[in-house]
Amino acid sequence: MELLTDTQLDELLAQWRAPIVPESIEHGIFSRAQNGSWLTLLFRRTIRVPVPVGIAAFALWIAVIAISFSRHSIAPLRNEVTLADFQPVKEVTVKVIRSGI
Amino acid sequence: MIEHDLKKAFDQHKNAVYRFAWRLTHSPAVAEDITQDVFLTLLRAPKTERTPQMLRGYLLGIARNLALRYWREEHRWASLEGDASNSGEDLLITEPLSADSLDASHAVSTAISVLPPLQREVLILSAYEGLSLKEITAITNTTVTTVKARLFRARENMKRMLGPLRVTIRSAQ
Repeated sequence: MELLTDTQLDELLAQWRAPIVPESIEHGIFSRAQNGSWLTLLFRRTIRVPVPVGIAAFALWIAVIAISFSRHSIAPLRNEVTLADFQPVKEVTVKVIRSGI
Repeated sequence: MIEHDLKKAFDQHKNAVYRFAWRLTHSPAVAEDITQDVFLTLLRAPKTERTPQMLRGYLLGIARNLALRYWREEHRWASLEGDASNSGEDLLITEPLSADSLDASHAVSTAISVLPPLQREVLILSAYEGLSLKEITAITNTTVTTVKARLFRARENMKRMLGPLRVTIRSAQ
């Protein structure tokens, strides 16, 4: 079996020509581009946010959540106030500390 | 991307994208769908500054991915390789094409359609779109070595398949 040379192969490859682009493609693209509804755009659209802004927004969001949780977790005040645990000191130890003059 | 930019990109690159899709799929209808989807994808993509050459590579890359999806949906991997897990990189075709026809264009088209998709795409990008190995590497998301190997095998397969055709043409002259 005879093999082609590279030049012969390139000559043969050049014989296969592609058709011209159908005009319907352009019409299809631009009609589909214009027919995109606002709802479709809303769900498909992406927003580019710089990293520092994104991090700041995320941190703010975490802070808001943390604050809202902390407000809910404050213990309720007791109605009764008792001094039962308020005891005088049992032993007083005096310690004199001299200044190093 | 706004429509004015889309129109400009379409006018500049429609031929390359359609030709590539048509040669990959051998189907005018599928090539038309792929070309439309390529430019609609560009419309939805974030605006990025690209040179015309870079934009061309970007669009051909989208076309390539869409064509791969089409192949997978049509189970063409299985029909070409007989094994869906094998991409056909190593396949060497030993059978020549029938030399019944003197229509070189038809013979080349048929031979390329028989090539495994991964060999086919690098051959088309190299021979018909005139892209460098580096550009093909970026589009196919592989290494230069892999592209070189696929291109070598594709050309060897084409030489084997089209050899008898050349003999027939020469004897007819």
